[in-house]
Amino acid sequence: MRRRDFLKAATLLGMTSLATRCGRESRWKTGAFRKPKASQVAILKAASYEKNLVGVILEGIKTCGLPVSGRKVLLKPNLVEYETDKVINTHPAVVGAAIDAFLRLGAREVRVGEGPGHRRDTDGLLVASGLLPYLKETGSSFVDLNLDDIKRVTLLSDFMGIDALYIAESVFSADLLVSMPKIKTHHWAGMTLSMKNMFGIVPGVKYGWPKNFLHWHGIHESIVDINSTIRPHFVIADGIIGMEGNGPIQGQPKPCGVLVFGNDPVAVDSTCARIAGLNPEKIDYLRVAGEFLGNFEEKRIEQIGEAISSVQTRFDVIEGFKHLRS
Amino acid sequence: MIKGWLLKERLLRFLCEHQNPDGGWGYFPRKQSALEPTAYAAMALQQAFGREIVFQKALDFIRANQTADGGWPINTTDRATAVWVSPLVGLAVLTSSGWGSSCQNAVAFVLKGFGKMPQNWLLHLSEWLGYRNGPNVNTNLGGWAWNPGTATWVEPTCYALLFLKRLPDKMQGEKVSGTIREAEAMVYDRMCNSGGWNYGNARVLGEELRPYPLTTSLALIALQEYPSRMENQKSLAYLKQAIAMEKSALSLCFGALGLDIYLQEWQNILKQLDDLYHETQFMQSIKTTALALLVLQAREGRNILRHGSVET
Repeated sequence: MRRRDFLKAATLLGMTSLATRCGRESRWKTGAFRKPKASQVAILKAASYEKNLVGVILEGIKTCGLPVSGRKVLLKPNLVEYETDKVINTHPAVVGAAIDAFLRLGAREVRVGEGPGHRRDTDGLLVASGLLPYLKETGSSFVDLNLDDIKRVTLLSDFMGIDALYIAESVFSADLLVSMPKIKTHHWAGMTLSMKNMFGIVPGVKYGWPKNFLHWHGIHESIVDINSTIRPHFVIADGIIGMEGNGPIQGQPKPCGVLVFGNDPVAVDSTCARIAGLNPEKIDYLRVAGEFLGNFEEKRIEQIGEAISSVQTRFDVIEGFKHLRS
Repeated sequence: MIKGWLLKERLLRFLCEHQNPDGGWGYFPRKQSALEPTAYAAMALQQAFGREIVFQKALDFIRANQTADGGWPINTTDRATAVWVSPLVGLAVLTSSGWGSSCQNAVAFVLKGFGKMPQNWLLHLSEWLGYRNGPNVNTNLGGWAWNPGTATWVEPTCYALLFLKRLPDKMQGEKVSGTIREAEAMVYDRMCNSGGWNYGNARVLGEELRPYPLTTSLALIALQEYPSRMENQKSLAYLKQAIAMEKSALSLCFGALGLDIYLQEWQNILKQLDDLYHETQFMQSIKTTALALLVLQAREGRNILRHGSVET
């Protein structure tokens, strides 16, 4: 049996383990969660990073009815690495356009924050990735969530087997936390989207580079516990060009031509998976999160804008995740 | 380009202005005091004329925050002793005040944190069944982790090496030297095929990982006694080529300090740092500011990360 087969087997074992845990309601605090009966997700076409991104993002925010005026916004893009021939990060143009859009809608303040998973030289990532000029142009500040002040938070669910995690303080001083992932396949988690993106609010100063502590407690388990405790208020997923194959770093660009919006991260991530031609029910953390955090069933998600079928783009996945195909 | 002395003065002023009332520094101004930026700031201020009070307050902060087990926490919020930051703070104490009980306790803590890569039983089982290839690294070689009970990594291991190698001769007993030798072997074991170091392994899922200037610089500094070893030479060649395109002031600082130790030309890095200072003001980072000061001191012949540069 090859490693890929083992990965598949391990994933299935993980799914079983997670499912077993999921079966017991004591894994999350009863009453702490009110899963919405239905969720809205907007899929809007965006052909490139050059044209009218602010307009598309304004439309996405308004369509989902997100109240912005007077609020302090923290945008959390996915900023991991920079390599000239790769599409690893949330495109800086999307982040810049989001800053612009939130300011136009009357936000009191818009900051950008990220705690890259394994690079300590965040300053270089800001320069090399091209994000810095957008920050300067909009007057928005950046906070390195790896090195931020930290706050101990009791977890509201118990999949990792620990009581509490430290989280970057800036997350708590924002009224609106906006997760801005890149739509990518992921060689350990299947897909990395708005929920996996929340690993970036867990400070490296406490958990290291990479945040190996989370991996040791299980990636799927960590994703669920972090998102049950700190739920992003809104998602803007960059699927203009996603990543397929051996993501989140070494995969290949996959043009998809969409931005996906919504205030239920589980619903947005499930929709992104469907757009990529993958079955969210087979992605452990989405299926478990769908039990109590948000909606992953298609029938509970009201799609606004484009239909999934009209934008669906089959993403390639590594051998160990072929079973995620719908 | 700002003249060296002028930049040095600006950086010193920035550090002094942003020292917290408790004597420490946060990673950025107006943030809670943390031990890593404070350690670098203390090293940068050791010989700063006219800043003796600031320096003394920093040392007092460090002493006040040493835990009962001899290490230091990451900051003033989390009181748990941190495996990775303790040797760095120990190095700051050692190079500032010389050997003493504080360092002795720190050594004990650092040695306690040394260990082998813990193995997940499921992965063990899969290897035993032949379902999985063995790990890409030699798990028999010990090193240091970011957090207790998790995997060992290049960066925290380099910090520990930097500290332990600076202990005075009388403290370099068999236990310390044996630990150092094994940790050195672990760092060499993680080197990328093309030279240089990634933050972690050289391969993941069959794919070669690329090295980074920052981790490569740290590893080269930690392995500075072996300049002519093939691995060091290969990594040095990578670093010299990569640093020219580097956009991170933090990486440039470590690159400059590393190249200086290996007696390589690095004056161009000063120009790159100067450009980045104009463009980003080092993102207001206390740690980068302190490191830039250490680079400017290295230009004057005092590279604090070079073994023997300061009497310990």
